[in-house]
Amino acid sequence: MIPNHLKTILTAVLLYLFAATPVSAEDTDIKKVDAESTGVAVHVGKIFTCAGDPIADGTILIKDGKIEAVGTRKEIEVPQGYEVVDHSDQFAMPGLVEAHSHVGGSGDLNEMVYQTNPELRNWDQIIPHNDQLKVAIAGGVTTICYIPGSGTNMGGFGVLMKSGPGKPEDVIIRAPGVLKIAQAGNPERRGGETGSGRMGMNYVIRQQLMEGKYYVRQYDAFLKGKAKEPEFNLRLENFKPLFHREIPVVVHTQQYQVIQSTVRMLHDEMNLKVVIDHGTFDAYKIGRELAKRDIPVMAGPRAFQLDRERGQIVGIVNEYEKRGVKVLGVNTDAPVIPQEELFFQATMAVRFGWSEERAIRGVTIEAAKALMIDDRVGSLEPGKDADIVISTGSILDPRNYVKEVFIDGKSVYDTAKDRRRF
Amino acid sequence: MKTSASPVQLTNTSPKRKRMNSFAGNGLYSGFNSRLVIHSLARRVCIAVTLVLLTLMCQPLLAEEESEGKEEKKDKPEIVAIVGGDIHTVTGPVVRKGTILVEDGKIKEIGQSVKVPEEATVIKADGMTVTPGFVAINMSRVGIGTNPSGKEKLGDGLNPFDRNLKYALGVGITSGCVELSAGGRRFGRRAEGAPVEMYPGLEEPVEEFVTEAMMDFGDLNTSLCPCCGLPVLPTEPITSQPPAAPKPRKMAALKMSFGNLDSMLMGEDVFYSVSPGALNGALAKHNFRKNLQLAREAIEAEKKAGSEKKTTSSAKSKAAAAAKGAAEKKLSKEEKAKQAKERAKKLKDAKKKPKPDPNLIKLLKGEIAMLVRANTVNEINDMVDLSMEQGYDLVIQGGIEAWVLADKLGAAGVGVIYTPRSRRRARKGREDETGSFVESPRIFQEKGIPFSLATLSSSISMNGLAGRDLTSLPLEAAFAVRGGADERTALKAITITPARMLGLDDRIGSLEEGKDADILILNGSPLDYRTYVEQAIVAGKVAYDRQKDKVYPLHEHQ
Amino acid sequence: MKSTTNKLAALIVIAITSVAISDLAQAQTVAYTGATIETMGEDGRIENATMVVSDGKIREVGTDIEIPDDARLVSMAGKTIMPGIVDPYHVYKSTAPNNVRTVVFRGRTFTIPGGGPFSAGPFIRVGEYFDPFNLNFNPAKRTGITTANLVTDGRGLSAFANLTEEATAEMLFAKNGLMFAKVTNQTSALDVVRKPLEPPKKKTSKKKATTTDDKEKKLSPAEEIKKLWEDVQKGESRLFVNVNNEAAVAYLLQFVEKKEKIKLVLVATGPNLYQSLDQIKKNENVTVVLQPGIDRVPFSADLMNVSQLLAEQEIPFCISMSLSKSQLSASQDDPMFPVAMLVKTGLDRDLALKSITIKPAELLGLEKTHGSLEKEKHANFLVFDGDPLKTGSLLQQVFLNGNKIHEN
Repeated sequence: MIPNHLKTILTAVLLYLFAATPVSAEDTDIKKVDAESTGVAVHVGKIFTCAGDPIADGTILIKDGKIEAVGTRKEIEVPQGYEVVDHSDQFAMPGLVEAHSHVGGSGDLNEMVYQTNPELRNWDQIIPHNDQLKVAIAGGVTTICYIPGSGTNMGGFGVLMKSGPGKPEDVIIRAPGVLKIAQAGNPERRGGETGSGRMGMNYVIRQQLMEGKYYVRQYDAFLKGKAKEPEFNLRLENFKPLFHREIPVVVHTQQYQVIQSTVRMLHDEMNLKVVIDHGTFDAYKIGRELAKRDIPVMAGPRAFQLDRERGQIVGIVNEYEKRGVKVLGVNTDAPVIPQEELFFQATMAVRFGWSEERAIRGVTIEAAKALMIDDRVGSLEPGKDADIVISTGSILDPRNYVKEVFIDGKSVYDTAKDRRRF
Repeated sequence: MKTSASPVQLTNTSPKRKRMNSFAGNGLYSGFNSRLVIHSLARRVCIAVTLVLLTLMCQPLLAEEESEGKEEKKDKPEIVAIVGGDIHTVTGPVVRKGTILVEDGKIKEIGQSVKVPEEATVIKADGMTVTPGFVAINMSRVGIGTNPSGKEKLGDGLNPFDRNLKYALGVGITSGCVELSAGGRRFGRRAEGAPVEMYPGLEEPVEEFVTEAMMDFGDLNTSLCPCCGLPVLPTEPITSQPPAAPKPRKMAALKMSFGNLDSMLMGEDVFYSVSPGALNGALAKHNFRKNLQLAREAIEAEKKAGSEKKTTSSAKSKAAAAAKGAAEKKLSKEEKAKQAKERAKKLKDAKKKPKPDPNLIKLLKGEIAMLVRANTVNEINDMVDLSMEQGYDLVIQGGIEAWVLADKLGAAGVGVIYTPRSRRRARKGREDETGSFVESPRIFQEKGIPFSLATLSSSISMNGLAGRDLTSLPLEAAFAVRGGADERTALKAITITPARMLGLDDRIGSLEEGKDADILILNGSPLDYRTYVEQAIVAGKVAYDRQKDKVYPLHEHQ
Repeated sequence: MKSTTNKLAALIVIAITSVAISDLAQAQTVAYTGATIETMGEDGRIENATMVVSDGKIREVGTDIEIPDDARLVSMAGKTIMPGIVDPYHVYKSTAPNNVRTVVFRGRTFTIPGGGPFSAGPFIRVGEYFDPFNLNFNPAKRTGITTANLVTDGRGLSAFANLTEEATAEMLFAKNGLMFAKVTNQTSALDVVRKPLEPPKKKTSKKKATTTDDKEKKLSPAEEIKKLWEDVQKGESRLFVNVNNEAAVAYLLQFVEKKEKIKLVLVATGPNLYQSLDQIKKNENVTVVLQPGIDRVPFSADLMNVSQLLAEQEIPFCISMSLSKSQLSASQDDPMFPVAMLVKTGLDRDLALKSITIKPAELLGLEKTHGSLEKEKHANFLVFDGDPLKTGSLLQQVFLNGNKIHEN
């Protein structure tokens, strides 16, 4: 007998599973109704498309919440009836993508009864456009990866969502978005059972993943008609997209030694899509191994490490860059660093040696790639979501500020009308 | 007998020991000197040897020699010339491709056509930006080994080799106000309830984190009910308190002169700084007013005494003293006892009468300003009113909601120490008069409120979180520009404005003739986030060199 | 008068007992032949030399000397003899009070290590405080230290000791040594040195006059201490100051800069000295005592040889083999290894050896009797089975006043 409330959860889960792709379709459908049928043309002084060279004196066409065209003002003809927004003395760039955030919902993100919690998902407790996200928008952040905390080795499944207003189904980009695993550090705070040390932790993570892998394999075999249907297990359901490599695992991992085990266990052994989500302290030293495997690194919130041998500050992001890590970005671990200061994490990375061009990509397209949502966000290209940030100059310079933000083609923050929030 | 002779001699007391030591002195130095001569024939060494010889010959000659040597040294002042940079003087116009001449730690001349003497050490600054050293109005744990407490004086607890000095210099901080009895904060705010001075010797302040409930209540002096967790309203204490002077927090102005102890300490007690709790409520205010009254009386008395003193000549007083001394000798025992009794009585009376706080006297004289942490409209209002009533200079630290009271602050000439990234949630529906506002710097500038900038954390942190500790001071100025202040004002907010608040604007905060030579050579615009200090000159000496010190990553941004 | 007779009596007793002891052990004349001798004196290094020892003293050193007929011959062929090590700063006992204290803050109790106010502790006269019971000088002897300036980690007046085979009260051969203190960059700590050395006020000058009037009058302990500080002030006696951080070095140098007469011996570690080398060089009355070995340049991975830096700057210095207690007990099989490292990394060999023998002897005022192997000096010497600074050379024997006190 399944209790009543569980049944409702079950149906909800099943609904989501079956509607995994339709969700987005539905999303745009709603937008279609909301948005006026006419498009918007935005004239800007300079566009960082994050998909090629910056465009000077450009125009972006928005239609149905998506980007219709991007190019120089000369190239692009504004169709009749389009609303024209003139920001010709401003900069435009894609909305910023946060790879590691804890401010998308009610914030109760650590259930610490079990050491691994694949049954948990946090998209039931999101609060779209909450106070912190409102300020985040004023900092240019339009997409966040809202994930459980690192109180246990496997905190649960997180969600990828927009920071703008709307119902949960409007703002969710993908659910389940990512799996959160925490290695070493925070989960070590427990005591008295297996898993309070690094040996035990690796065991409980591996054990849980193997269980999930077996479940998914059996299910896949069933689909191919090679085996009977496995007994339904809610705990393990969300492992399906994970082991199908449709969603990544974001790993709270830092320090050289710990990342070694991350790479070996999660990438080499389990064949998962892995994102290194802190990668701080001396972990950058393993950069070459990560580069070889094309593992993305979303470094932060710590931005530097004191090299005690040399007595010098080392910029962590730049060290990964030097070692050839391509998909490279920063995170805030909000609220550790306030969500709106995502750009500032990139600013500091540049101060410590990273290139400005890579830094702008790092908070947009590279983060989107790491989270496997680069088909929708992260750059200004035709067909992608119209998440656009208009600022008074390069967003990396704290002296400049965000003037207007579009999410899914809608202006959600405009300093011409709204009180400045950041 | 012979074998034991020497030990016996040595155990003997002073006369022979003296001989032994003086001999040892000669022995040692002759030994070393001969080695010196073998190694090199530097002039200095020669002087040393001749000095030794002269000592043996006669004393008067030696004195002459010494004075000659000293004169020689005096003739050669240390001259440094910084040539070719664009000089942002802060208080004056920008001098393009100018030269600054520094002599003995002071700025001698600034201009485009300054003649550089031959003996000057030339520092080339072509293509660089030259600015005055930044003044950090709120620092902690920089340049100090042990915090002063009790008998321990700050002047004896400095550490001119503190690595933190280099980190500060690397971003341009060459001087500042160091808070001696409170630490920086990390993620939360330190509750102000209990002043740390109450527990002398407790060096690491126990950090307490203000809960949401307290934040919403908006009063830092609020405590929480231990059983229900609800904020407890600050009330008057039921029993009366004696009118004790609130113990001010200790502040001192330090110069980041790495390796140079002599020029490090610029001033102690640069602010009269109490925790807001000390002035909260009617009774505390009453006590404070009473203490101010005492101080005022002391000032009056001093004035009177001063005018009386002028009439009596110093010679006269000397004579009187001598006469007194002579008379004392003649006094009989009884008289002496009587005098002693009187003196004791006087002392007793003096003890009964509360003494005025010397810092309050300074405050009332206008030598120092009061520094008080106040963030909410109520707190700020309260403090401004009190300062206007009592007539002293006020500097508000924090001032998150100061923008609401900008007109009042501007009119009262109250200064604000502001952190552009400090946040306070507005009360729902009252966003236009509560909470932090990103455009505060613009408002301050428009209303003529002198403001200087402080960082999120006042200490230097190596925990890896970047741009949030003391080393982000110039970045905080960039955030002030983001908040609508113009670049000039923002630069002033980390140079001359804090210098004025500290009462040290005659020495630091701008590049002017006669001021201390605290000069930065920057590889870019002062408030650009990519800019690094290439060289920091403090008190005329290069105290930091980016390429040599290797504190921050070395790379080139174009 | 009474006191002087007492003193005389004491002297005689000491003299007789010491003679008695020496008579027992050192009666025979011994000639050590065929050795390489690092005399550390004017003769320098002598190959195939002979050293004649009797009554605890060196009678002859050289190649062409007459060996007395009654002498016992000891062949030292292939061995190297050098003077016993003189340790200029030997902390033999801790007298500093416990520095942990408890603070109650908001009902919770905290223990703060080192948080208590600095306490210099009482003024220790090592000569009187010395209690041989339970002391272990073995690591020092095995390292080759024969003579040591005994201090505590507080402040006081040191005493000079022979490291005899057994720790006895008689090992102190000079009960009134030199002044020592430990200092950090704190008012209370700096005042331990500064207060007594500030120029005397009027009041004290008055008292002085009275004390000079009747010299015979016995001084009170406080007056005696004052007298000792006055000697330091006049430059008649050296002051050893153990400085525990780099800032304290700066403070101390700042203080003595104005006091031209004071002869300061700065006892500090290499990294603490490193930042202040220029300042030290400016003051010719400063001598440095440091431990042997290679240090790390502060805030860097680079290594440095501070002894060599001192030599380059022509700053007088001595090396104390016992400053690092861990090094002292760790390197007993190869005691000269840290010194050899200094030589290997640039320090002049002769200077290195002198800085542990004759230079510290000069610093302590013992250069007439200690620190080198020369005629009529004390027969304190070490026998190595090869070059002392060569890795693998063993310290085989340690002699004090002609007596073997250690054999390996």
